[in-house]
Amino acid sequence: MEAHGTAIDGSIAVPALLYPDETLLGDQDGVGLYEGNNKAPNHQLGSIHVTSHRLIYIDTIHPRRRSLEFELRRITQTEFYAGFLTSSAKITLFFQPPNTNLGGGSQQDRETTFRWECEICGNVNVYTGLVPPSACQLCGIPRAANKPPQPEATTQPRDIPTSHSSYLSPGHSRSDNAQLACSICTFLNHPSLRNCEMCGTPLPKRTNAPDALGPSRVNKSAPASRPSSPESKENINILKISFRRGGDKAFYATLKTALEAKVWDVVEPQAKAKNRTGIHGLVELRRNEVESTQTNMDTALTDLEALMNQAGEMVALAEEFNRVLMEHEAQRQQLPEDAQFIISSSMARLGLTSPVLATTNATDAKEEGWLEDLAKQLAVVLTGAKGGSGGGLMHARGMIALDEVWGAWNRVRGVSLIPPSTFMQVLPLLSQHTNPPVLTRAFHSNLKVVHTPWYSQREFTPRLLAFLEAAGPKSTVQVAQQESIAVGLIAEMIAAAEQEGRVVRDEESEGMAGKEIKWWPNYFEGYVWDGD
Amino acid sequence: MERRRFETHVTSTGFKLPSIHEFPALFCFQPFSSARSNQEDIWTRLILSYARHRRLFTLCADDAEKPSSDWHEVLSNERIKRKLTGQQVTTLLQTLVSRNQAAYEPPKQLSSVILYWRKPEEWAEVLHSWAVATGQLNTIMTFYEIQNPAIESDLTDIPSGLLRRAITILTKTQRAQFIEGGDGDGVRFFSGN
Repeated sequence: MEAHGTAIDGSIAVPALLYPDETLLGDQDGVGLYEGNNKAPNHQLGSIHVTSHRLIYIDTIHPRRRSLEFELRRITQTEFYAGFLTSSAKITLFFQPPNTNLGGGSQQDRETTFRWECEICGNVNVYTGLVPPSACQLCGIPRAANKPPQPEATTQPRDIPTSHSSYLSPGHSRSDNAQLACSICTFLNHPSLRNCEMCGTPLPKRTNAPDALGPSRVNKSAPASRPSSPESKENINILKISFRRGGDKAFYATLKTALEAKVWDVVEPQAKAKNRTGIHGLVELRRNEVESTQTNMDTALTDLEALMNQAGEMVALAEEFNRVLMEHEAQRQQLPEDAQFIISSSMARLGLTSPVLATTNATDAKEEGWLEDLAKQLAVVLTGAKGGSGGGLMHARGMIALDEVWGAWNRVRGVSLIPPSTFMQVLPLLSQHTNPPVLTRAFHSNLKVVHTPWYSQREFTPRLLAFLEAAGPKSTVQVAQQESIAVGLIAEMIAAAEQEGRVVRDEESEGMAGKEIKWWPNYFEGYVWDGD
Repeated sequence: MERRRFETHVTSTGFKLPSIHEFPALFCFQPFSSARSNQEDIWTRLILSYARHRRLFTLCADDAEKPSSDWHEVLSNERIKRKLTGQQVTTLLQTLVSRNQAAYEPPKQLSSVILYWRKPEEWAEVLHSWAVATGQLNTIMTFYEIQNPAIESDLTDIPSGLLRRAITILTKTQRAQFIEGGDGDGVRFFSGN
């Protein structure tokens, strides 16, 4: 029985036996245990509890001495026997041999239970999983500042020296326990500390002795030395649970679920355990931040430089591509007309015929010429290539908000993007390079647009008035349809006309969709009184 | 769409509404000043001439909301489904007062005015000539006698506040004198010069 089970004090209520990350899944009383095919004489009447991690057998007669716990992770296989006549239903559990390393190459063996007492607050921390908690569960002081774990159960970390001669009970004063002075703050630290208690600075390593405060070697399971009969050698890894009062099916289902869930394998990705306390921790944190910022900046700037270098090559490549296309004009004659159009217009649209690169070393004298070039390029983007098939941004639209123009232009440029400040410098030059001139205008609401002369206020207001005269009062949306401009822009234009007193508004009070404003010509102006 | 020609309209009380009264925008206050002042000119003129026509002395903000009001056919136009709100009338009252074409009555509130479709000075002249014409000089008259004369006059139903103001103007040229009476104020008219 002791090969797999560990004695526990069953007089304690089962929920109190659970570890913090453990949950009770089910239980059944009136069970007995078999080792192999033989009844285990001391464990014939009790209750069995299955948790997310363990099976716990609580003996009814001698709960304190004869209760056992089994770890689910050691179970390799289960079988269910439904019972026949006087034979009770049984669940057979096959265990891995007790000395099999389950850690999967980890340095530490799968110790069943660690309890360690926090030196600061005295809280006894208990954990079962692979990864020990890095800090005391009560006061949050990192475990590094505490003693190394003191396993009280079956096995212990393997990298701990096993020499019994080095064992000293905790609290025993040692001959070589001279206190360690911190190199930074000179505080005399307890020799067992790794980091200074005051400022958190790592303490100089002790060279003279191995970690003398290693865990106690209370090894209850002794598989190698355990005398065993030949047949029990086979059966040592088999445990049967006999259900004398039923409940076997439900219990088996619960057990299966727990085994499949493998809660013990689910290790939460633990944040890199950092010592964040003390002055040392703060200094380190800050240094890490600075380092990462520096790294990010370096990377970003390198990328940018590489991009700049590539830009010229890309443009050259595109020009070359275009030239080759031109040379093959003859062959292209055979292409369908649509394809020809797409090729030629896409090149124009890309603005690659005369790309203007933003040069960082442009002098003031050059700057003016540079802005001129930019204006020419923008003109192409807006009105299409000269003598080409049109297709500029303003081909079908007479008025475009500035942000859209800026976005479209930079999308066309692709590389060497134009900042808004330069864009604003280019705009006044735009009208010189476009025919009909593309004008810039700021509305009352500070919305800025570029527009063709057709959409200047001087042209628009009479057109609007004529439209209203002819077709009656119209809403903003109706005017926008008539003028084929975005509603937001036409609203600004009408507002300007209203401000000039050329149109007046009429709010229809009860509309289905709230209030709608209809625009009228200003009949107040020049009205001659014709009433009483 | 039709290009609507606005037309004058004669109401049931015989008042000829101007054609602009059919302009829907008249019932929506314009946000910009040039159109707005035109609009206010039209409204004040319309209100005063209608008041003169109906001999209405007061205008309240409530008049816009009540269909039974004397002002209903001016403050709303059911043919184009438009009407002024109480809020808009309050604004108009303010305009009238600021143009000295009305005075808040009672004072120190903003929702009701006495309309000056005749200025208090003009009312003073009307009052005096009425007194002369009906031979009331040198006799003491109560306000009630002036407001409810046996033969209907221009002064019939004139509000006491306005009457008092007109008499005050006459007292300045010694053509009238207030008489403090027990049961209501009185006045005595003099021929003057």
